[in-house]
Amino acid sequence: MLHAGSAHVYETLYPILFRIAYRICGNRNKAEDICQEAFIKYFERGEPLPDLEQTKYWLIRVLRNLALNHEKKKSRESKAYQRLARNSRQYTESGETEVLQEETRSLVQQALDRLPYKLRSVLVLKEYADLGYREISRILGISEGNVKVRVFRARERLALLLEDEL
Amino acid sequence: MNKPRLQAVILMLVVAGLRTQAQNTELDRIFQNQDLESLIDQALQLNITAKVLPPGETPVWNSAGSKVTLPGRSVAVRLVGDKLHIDVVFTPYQDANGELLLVAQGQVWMAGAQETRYFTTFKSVPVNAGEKVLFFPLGLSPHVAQGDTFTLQIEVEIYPYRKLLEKQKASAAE
Amino acid sequence: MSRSGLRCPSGDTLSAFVDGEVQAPWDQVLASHLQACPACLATVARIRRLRELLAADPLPSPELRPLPEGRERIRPVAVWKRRIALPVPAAAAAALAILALGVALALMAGRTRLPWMSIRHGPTGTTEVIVAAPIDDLEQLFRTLDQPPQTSGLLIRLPAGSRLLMMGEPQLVREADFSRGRR
Repeated sequence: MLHAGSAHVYETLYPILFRIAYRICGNRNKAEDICQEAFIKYFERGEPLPDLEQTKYWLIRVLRNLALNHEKKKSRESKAYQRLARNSRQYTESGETEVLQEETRSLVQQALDRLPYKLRSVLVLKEYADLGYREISRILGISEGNVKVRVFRARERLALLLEDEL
Repeated sequence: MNKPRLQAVILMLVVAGLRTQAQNTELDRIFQNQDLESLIDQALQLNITAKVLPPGETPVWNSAGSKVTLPGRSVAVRLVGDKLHIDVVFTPYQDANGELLLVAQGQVWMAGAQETRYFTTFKSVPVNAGEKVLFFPLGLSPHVAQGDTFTLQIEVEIYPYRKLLEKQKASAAE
Repeated sequence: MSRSGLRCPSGDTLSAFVDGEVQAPWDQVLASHLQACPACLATVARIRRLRELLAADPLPSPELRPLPEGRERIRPVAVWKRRIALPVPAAAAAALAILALGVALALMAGRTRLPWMSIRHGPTGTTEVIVAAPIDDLEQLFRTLDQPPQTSGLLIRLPAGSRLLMMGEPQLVREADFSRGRR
C-alpha cells in the first residue's frame, strides 16, 4: 500500500491538492479531510502511477469527486442543522452549534463560495491548480469549449462580487 | 418502604460506584453521610433504549434497559454488531439547584472493507428529570426519509429514583 | 483578417486570451484588436486584475500531517464551560485513551508495515481516527487492547446484518428539541 516513493508524492503534491481543495470547499477542515481521503485512495490503488504529473491529475480527479459529494451534503446538512440550532438555542454557549460556525474566510474565498459549484470548480482548477483548458477538460470530462465558457462566467460573477476590490 | 428493598438499592448503587472510575471522594463523602435516605434522594434511574430506525422512522428493532446510579457515576452501554462496536458512557450530573446535565462519551469502532475507523465523541446536554434525550452515536442523516440510511438512536430518560419508588409504593398500595 | 472595425470578440474569447488559450494566428488578431479597442482592453485588464487578486489571496496553511511516522499530539477534549463543570480528570483520561487506541489500532492494522493513520478533530468533542487498513476481527482487537467486558453496564446486541454507517457528527439532543427541528 505505502511504498518507497509515497512520502515524496505526498509531500510534493499535498500543498497543491490542499490549495485546490480549500478553494473549492471554502473550509479548511473539510479541505484537509478530502485531501487525506484522496491520498488514501491513491495509496490503496496498488500500482503507483508512473510520474508525478499523472499522479497529480489522478488525485485532482478524485478530489473533485469528493468535493462534489461534500457540496451535495453541505446543502442538505446545513438546512437540517439550521433547524436543529433554531430549536436548541440553549446550546449556544456549549459550542455544539460550532458546526454552523465558519472560520474567517477572506473576501476572495467568500466570493468563491458563492459561485455555483460547476463554475467554482472549473475556475479553481484554472487559477489554483495551474492547469490549461485541455487538462481541465480531461479531468472534468467536459469539452474545452465548456471549460472556456465556465471560466468566463465564473470570472464575470466574481468580478461583480469583488467589485470593490478590483 | 421495606428494608430488604432498600438494601437491594444500596447494593446496586455501591456496585455501580465501585465499577466506574468517577470520583471516589464523592462516593466516600456520600457514604460518610449515614443517612441512607439521602442516598436514595440523590439516586437517579437511567432508562436506556437503543433503537434502529429505518428511513420510515418506525423502529425495526429496539432494546431497553435501566440502571440506577448517582450523579457523577457513569452508566456504560455497549452495543455490539458484526463490524460495529459502540461503547457509550452516560454520566448524569446534578448541580445544587437540581439541574441535570447528561454527558455522553461515545467510542465507535467500525471495520470497513478498506479501513478501520475509530471515533470518539464527548457531548453533553442539559435536561429535565423525566425528559427524554436522544443520542445518535453514528450521527444523523438529515434526509432520514430517503435512501436506505438506518439511524441508530439511543434514548435516555433520567428519573429521580425516589419518585419511582414512591410511584411503585402508591400502585402497590392500591 | 485584420481589417479595422472588426467586431469585438465575445467575453469568453477575451477570457481565454488572458489564459493564453487562443491559438495562433487568432491571438495576434486579438492583440491587434485590443490596441484599437479601449472597451475590450478594459475587459482584459479587469480579468487580469481579478486573476491577480485570486492568486494573491493567502491560504490557511495546511498542516501537513506526517505520513507513517509521527504521532500527533492530541489536544485535550474541550472542557464544558457551563455552570456545571466537568471533572477534568475524565477529560484528560479521554484524551490519553484516544491516543493509546489510535496507536493500538494502527499497530494492529499494520503489523510489519506502518499503516496510514490519521487523527482529526471535529467540532466540539469529537475525534476520529482512521487506519487505512481493514481489521477483520474486532474481537481480537479488543483482546489486544485489553478492554474489559462491561460488567456493570448494559450490553445490547445490534440486529444482525444491520447496515449502520457513520453518517455524521454524533448528536446528543433533548427529544423535544429534536422533534421540533425535524418537522
